[in-house]
Amino acid sequence: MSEIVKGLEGLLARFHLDVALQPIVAFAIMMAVVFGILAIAIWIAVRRRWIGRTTAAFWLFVSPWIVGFLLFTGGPMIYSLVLSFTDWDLISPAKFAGLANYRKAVHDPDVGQAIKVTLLYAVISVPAQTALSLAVALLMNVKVRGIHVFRTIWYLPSLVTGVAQTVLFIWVFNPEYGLVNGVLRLMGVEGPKWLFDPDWALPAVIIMSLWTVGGNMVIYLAGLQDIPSELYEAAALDGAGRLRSLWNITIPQISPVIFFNVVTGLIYAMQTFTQGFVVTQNGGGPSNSLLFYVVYLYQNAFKFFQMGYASALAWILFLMIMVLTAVVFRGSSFWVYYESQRPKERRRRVRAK
Amino acid sequence: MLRTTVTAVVVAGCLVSLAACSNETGATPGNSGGKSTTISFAYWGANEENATIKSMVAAFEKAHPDIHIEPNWIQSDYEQKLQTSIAGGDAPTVAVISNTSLPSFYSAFKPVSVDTGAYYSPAVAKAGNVDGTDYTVPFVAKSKVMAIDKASFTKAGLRVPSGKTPLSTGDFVTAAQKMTSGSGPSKTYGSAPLWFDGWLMADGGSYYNADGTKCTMGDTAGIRAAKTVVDSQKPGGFAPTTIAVQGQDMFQWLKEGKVAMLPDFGPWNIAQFAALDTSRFLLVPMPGRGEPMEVDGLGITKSASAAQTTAAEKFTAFMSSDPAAQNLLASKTSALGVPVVKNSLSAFQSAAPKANLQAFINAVTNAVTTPYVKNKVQIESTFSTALDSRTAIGTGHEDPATVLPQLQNKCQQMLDATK
Repeated sequence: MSEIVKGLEGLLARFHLDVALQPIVAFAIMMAVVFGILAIAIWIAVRRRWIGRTTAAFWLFVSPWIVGFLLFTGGPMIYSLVLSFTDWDLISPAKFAGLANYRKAVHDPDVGQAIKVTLLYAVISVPAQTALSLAVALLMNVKVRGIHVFRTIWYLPSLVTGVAQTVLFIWVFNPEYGLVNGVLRLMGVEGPKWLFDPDWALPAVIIMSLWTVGGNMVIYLAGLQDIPSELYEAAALDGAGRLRSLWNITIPQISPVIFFNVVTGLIYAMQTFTQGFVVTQNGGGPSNSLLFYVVYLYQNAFKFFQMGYASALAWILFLMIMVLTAVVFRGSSFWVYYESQRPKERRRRVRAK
Repeated sequence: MLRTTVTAVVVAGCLVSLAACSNETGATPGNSGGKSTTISFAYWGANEENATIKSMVAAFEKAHPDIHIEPNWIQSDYEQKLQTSIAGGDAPTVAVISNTSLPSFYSAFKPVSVDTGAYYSPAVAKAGNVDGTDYTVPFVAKSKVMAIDKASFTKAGLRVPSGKTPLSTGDFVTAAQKMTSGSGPSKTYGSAPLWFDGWLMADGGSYYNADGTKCTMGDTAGIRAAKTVVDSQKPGGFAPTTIAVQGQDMFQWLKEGKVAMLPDFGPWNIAQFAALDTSRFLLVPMPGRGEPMEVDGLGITKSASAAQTTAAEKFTAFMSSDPAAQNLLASKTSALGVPVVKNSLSAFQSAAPKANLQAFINAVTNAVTTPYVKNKVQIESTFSTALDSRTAIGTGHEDPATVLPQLQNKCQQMLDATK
């Protein structure tokens, strides 16, 4: 692939194309060829009546995503699977290592620590974020003058995420000059060392994660506004109080939204990287207290240059996320309520008529 | 119509791609037209350092109009990006690499010929050597000295250290303790925090033995160095804790008289130092044996063509030993490091004539050579994390005398596993 790109760039150089434009033009030519071949294949399939015109149109319209997925996600995933069975430092040729990388991961104490940190973070931060964002959404769902301003204020912190958020909180939690310990000192309390204390580093990062609840709040708010008001009116006629309505109407009605946020939140939490990486780069997270799984994976790949081992770790993480997601999906049947329960059965009944 | 257009596009694209595949005339970005050769050059650095390197590249292109250098300035995550580009088959023809990172990269470079006689420091001449073969040509040395506030010495009734002879580590500790006074936010410190790796070497210790086969950081010298660092950060100690200096500019503390000595002072701070009142501030050698020195070298990628290799050899030789390039390493506005050839030392000193830059040169001349150790990055990263976590050098509480021998054993296991 690299040879083709280089060759194309060389060819473009002969046409005196600007050096800065050569890679992007070479890439555009390759994409044009890929899509051209795809278009011809579909055209032949239509001509020979293997597929209908509507189906052909479908494939043509989804082809940008399919090609993008295969090239930039599916392909690298398969490649990393292959790499996970090799010993490769990125420079010397890869050597087949069988299951050695997976065996090494099983016996690596740092992997155990990374899993512990990541799972603890996921198990505490996801419910905390869910509870807080739902509570805020309920508060922001009240119809009062200027509520839009409050909603905006709650959402605004969500715009400061990633590295910027982490750097901000390194200062907020600074044991000597930070805002948190400054406030605690005013109250006569000597605060902990937060990110520089092995026992407090993870709780500090969990508190940090609540900074972005505004994003989930918007989703909950949309869910809350979709609940038919007749349900509340009927409940009120039956004498239900606010708490009863919340428990028996609001929560069940938005349970699919909660489910969505929990699943996506869990997947994101398992892939936490920025907080752990930035804090440890700045001298925090002692005793591997912020050794998130992906941080350890990154260290192996790009610091120790053990790409085969890092690929194996990536696949182990993939399996862990799949299992966790499956467990949450399985458990969802006990607490997630859908308006159209057992939709397949209902569809069959409709057809039978 | 659509059919014709699609077919035409595909056929044209395929033809272009095939032509690209069959391109064997060397008409790559690295060699277009046969008249001039283009080579790419990867390096890191801040804005000022980029400007310095660009001026050196311009000097080379002026001296060799037939060779064009395509600079690739990588501002952050240099090694990761370099490694990825090598793995992706798009390695820069020439790359800057430090002697500390060379063990991870040497197999990507061609062996080079290094004229050891051209350099005034034996440590510089050996910096690009791995297992008896040279893989990089030395280009700039980054030795460490110590910046001091003479006023603090005088105030404490101490003799101001010499700019030539290093303090002993014992004298350094005594002086630092005497210059420490006050408490709380107004406390003034004798020294900025000590860096264990640096102090280990200054105090006579080392990470490994001379041939890199044994870990030695847990021996008597290592324990003594660790205890000095730990004691310096205790409540009555002479240095602030690493947490207290989080996000703080130590150079500013020196300027304000909050610390009296600033060890681990690199040449990239020269322009900043030159702006200070030189009657009050002075550069002196690091105490004891000095600190480990970084030497950046230039490696030529294995995938370079014959024409590119020839051009790259001319380029690396120019950057490494030609005064036209080496004279540019330091200026009044920025300094990349210390020149590696003798003829450029006067130009280096003229960047800040009153700042005793000779201390940097002496540190390069007297620098201790460090052995080649495979897996060095992982071994030292594991060691540092454990040391910081378990002892008061970082956030732990265990006694260094207990921890260091254990970590040395762990280090030895990792070292043995690489054989």
